[in-house]
Amino acid sequence: MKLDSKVPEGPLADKWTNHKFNLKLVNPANKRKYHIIVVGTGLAGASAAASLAELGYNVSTFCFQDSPRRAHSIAAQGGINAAKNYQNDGDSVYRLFYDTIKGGDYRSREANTHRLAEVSVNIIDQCVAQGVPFAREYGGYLANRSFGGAQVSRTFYARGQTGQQLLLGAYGALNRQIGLGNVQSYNRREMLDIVKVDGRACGIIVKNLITGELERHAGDAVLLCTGGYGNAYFLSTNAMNSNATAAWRAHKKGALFANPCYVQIHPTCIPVHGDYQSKLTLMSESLRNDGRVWVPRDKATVEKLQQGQIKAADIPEADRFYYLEEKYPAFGNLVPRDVASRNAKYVTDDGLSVIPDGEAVFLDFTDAINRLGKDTIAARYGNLFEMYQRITDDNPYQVPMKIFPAVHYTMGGLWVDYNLMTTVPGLYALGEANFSDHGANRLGASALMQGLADGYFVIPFTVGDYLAEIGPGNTPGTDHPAFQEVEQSIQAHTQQLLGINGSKTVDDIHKKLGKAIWDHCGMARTADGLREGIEKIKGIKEEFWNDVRVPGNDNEINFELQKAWRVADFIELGELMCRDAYNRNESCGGHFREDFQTPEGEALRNDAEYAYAAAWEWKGDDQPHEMIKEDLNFEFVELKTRSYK
Amino acid sequence: MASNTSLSLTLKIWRQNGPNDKGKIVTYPISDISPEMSFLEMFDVLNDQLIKKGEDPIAFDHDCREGICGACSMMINGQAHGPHRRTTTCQLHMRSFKDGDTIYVEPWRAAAFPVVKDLVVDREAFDRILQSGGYISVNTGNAQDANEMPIANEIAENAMDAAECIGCGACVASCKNASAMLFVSAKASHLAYLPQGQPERNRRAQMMVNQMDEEGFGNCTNTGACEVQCPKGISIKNISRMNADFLRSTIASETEI
Amino acid sequence: MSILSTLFKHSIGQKLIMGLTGLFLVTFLVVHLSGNLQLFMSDNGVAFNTYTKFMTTNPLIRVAEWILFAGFIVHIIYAIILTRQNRKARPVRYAYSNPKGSSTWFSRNMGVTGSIVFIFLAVHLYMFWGIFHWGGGEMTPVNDVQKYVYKVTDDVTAGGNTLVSAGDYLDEKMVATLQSQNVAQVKAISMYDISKKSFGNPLISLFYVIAMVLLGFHLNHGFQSAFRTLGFVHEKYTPFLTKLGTAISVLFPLVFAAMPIYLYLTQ
Repeated sequence: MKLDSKVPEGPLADKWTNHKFNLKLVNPANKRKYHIIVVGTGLAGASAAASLAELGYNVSTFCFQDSPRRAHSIAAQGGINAAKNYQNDGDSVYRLFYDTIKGGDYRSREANTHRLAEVSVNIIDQCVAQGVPFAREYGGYLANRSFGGAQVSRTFYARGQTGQQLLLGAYGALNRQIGLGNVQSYNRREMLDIVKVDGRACGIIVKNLITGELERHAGDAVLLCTGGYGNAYFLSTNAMNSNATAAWRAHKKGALFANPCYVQIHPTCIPVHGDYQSKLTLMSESLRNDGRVWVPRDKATVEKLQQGQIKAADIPEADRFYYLEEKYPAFGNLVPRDVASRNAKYVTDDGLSVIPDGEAVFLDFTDAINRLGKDTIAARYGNLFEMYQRITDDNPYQVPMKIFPAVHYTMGGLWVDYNLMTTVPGLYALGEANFSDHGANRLGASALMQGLADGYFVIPFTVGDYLAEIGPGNTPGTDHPAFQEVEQSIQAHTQQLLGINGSKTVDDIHKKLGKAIWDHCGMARTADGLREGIEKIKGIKEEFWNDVRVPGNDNEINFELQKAWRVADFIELGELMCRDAYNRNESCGGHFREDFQTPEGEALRNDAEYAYAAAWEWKGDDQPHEMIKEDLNFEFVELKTRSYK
Repeated sequence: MASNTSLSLTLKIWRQNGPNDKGKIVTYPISDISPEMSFLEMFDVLNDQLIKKGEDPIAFDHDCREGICGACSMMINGQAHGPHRRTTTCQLHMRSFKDGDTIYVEPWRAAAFPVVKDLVVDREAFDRILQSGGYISVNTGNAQDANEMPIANEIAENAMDAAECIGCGACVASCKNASAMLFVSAKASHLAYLPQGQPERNRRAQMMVNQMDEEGFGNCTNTGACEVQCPKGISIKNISRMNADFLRSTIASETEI
Repeated sequence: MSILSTLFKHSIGQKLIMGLTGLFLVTFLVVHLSGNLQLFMSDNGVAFNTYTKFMTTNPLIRVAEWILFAGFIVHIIYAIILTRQNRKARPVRYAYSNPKGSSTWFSRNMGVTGSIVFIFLAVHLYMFWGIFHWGGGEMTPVNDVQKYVYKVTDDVTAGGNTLVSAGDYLDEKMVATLQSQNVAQVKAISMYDISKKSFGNPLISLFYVIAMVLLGFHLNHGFQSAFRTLGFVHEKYTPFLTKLGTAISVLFPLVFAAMPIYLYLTQ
């Protein structure tokens, strides 16, 4: 297979404009003759579904939640980037593009990233028009904050709930179309497979999570807006039900999966506190604007701290190791996420953790409170502080927060071309589900931007090109034998899961899987470790299919069954993550190989051999994946060693 | 941090097989619960035990577990989301309970929120209310530059206060009349405060109230329980504000919608 | 949406009816209270009975009485309609109910306080309005009937002529006529006497005091709730209205309750 990224020719800044002109259009009267399936209703899914319905297409949306509004985009806290340059601080589309490429450690596709920066400005306009209550200055104009990896203030925010507000905006637009009858919304449905006829995606099979029934839906195009696969690690900041099943099943039907090893470990999360822990809670990166990250300089102090003999405030300034500020004076606490996370790992590996039986560093607001006053800090982060206190019982106004990195976002995903189409014709991937815009590391406040860019401003143009090509009314209906075939294979898979009747719960095995991936394919990886990880995961797969216990049956609400099919997919995906990480003999962004680092412990990229996206092709059960390269051609940006010093 | 002694509790949990089942409270003793666990993590532990015993685990809605998605929905000892203010069930921690406590856990109770199974209820009534008019009609691409229209900081803050609603349904659950007025008014107010929301302000209030009534929610008697139990602290002033919109647009307005 | 459908079909409209009738009934309380203050005049009921005469004979007041009556009926009917809807909105109750922390008892029990106030109202109407209109009078010296503004309860005839009809208040001319016919006493009744007699019974006085406490609860929630339903909310003035409601709900019942107590103590 040869990958065609379909990146248009021409100067970088004109590519998208030219491409839009060259794309085929569907005439307005014909639009309603097409049916588009949108799976997932987060920022990408809701914005795509609403925008496509506004254009006149028939749209159906599917989400496993009880309401489209509960998609996990809602939990994004900090903000959304846009190259508005309202602050007059030197921002521009090109700078946002450049920061994103650099932040991604030169492993993203230039043209996609530039397009993302271009449409970022329209996103803010659109959201404000929808009534998103972004923070305002007293003069009534939009306020901005700065975020990691950038030296300009370009992040728009709505308190600590930016994702919620943006999603409510997109959900409002979606609701309007549902109300108008242009969108059919199917809630509590999980997509279990796509249906292909003559090589192109023609529909999906979903499971009604209330009745257990399988339902067939035919569509001229299928948009997967199903988010990332961070929950492969069991513990992550993702929602409990976030999963990779839709993407993985599509992958097994021929969609290539690119760069699965690029995982973002978010530096500021609440540390793990016990075996029973079900998820990790993120504290917005925006906290690093005013919080200072530190650990005690020596182990003796750490010991006293861990035993409760002294408190953080008792440690004199000279004994504090503000490791980010010392190592990266230019960016200080605002280095990109991967750098901040890795350094937290280094200091705790050195035995400087501030909690006993676990790993954590301080995020300290004492200086900011002294400088700006408690009220200012409360206005900026009040709800985050409250959340922290509710969870930990500590008051961050008085004592430093304890934080540690946690799995947060997956840059890898289904391989898509410039039109966001996967390698299966008619099957698209949007938002976190695809791989294209963030390279090996995503900058803060860019996930919301990408989800909405794809949904509002990219897919409405690009999907038309494909639809015009296939013509209206040329997609087979749900009575096509292909639907029945897929349905039967799902039933067989389900019966198999229910029939194992072993001794371990799905969570038992998921925790084991998560630990294996975290240990071997986490913040720091090695060739040996990855080989070991792959073997471990194979063993876990074995154990799962022989010893898992899935209670209940197939024709009712069965949350355990739901978890079981998701974990079965995570196991396969976990192995591919390790394989991809093993293949990539370099360090870049979220992928840090200890065997490839500079003498100072920084990531050592290998542009000569690895400036490509690794797209993996499923070859069948028990067959190794085949890797297909998409070479990343940097025409406009010079590849440099990323430095935040 | 609180002490590390573990808790033994008696849980009295509503079990109901489906919408047509009568349902009953079932008692589950549970021990070795760490005070640092969240309430839902305690349910994970309980379900783990039930599965291993070959029993049917308890169905409950949850997703983000960080208090923002609005999926979790438990009536804990007669209080929506438990004893703490401005806290969702997923953010409630076991340190809030004492060793030996008996805890009742029930689903939201309202005719408009039928029980699906155990503690899971169907809240699509909320979606239908919003589909009837809870939005600003602006097509993608229609927008003007975001800074063309300055919006006073305090107005944006008021809108944001209302917009924080997570749609969990605690207001309905805690209202003695199962009224949805806090939810509906929060949604209406969020948009009514903003200049962008003005063109559809009257229509929005009417359509949403209309749909709310059709869903079979009760009537607001201004007891204020919803405001206290709301995990996001949405103020009941939004209810009065929406009443004004509704009455102005139906009684005072010259045009009928 | 037409006005009618707003008012009668929609919950907010129905609540508006409750609120408006409620506030109207509060205005009645103001009038009733200010009139009844005459009870406290140490004039053996002259002022109070004069006020009664005005209230029972003024044609405008008679019309207002019917409006008031309608107000009560609508308030009660809608209370029943809304309560039924509210019951239907939660068909299955909670096994463990714990509303104490989040709302006040009286805000949740407007139906209970309202019902007791309604029972009180029926008793009150019977005891005063009923007896005053239909009860028999007692033989009272004609001079006193005029001086203390008694209402004559039985016709007085002499020689086939009706000198005074039941329901008349005696003016000087009537007194002269009666005296000329040597009628020294007529059957008459006074509201002041009824009050004094009724509240001589400690149980009745106690019942009144209890009913007034409940009325206070009803008003405390009802007054500010009505403004909320009307859509009046203001950062500065809503707290004031709430305080005013509390003041009314304390003051009105207090003064009302003072009347039976005063009359009981001054027997």
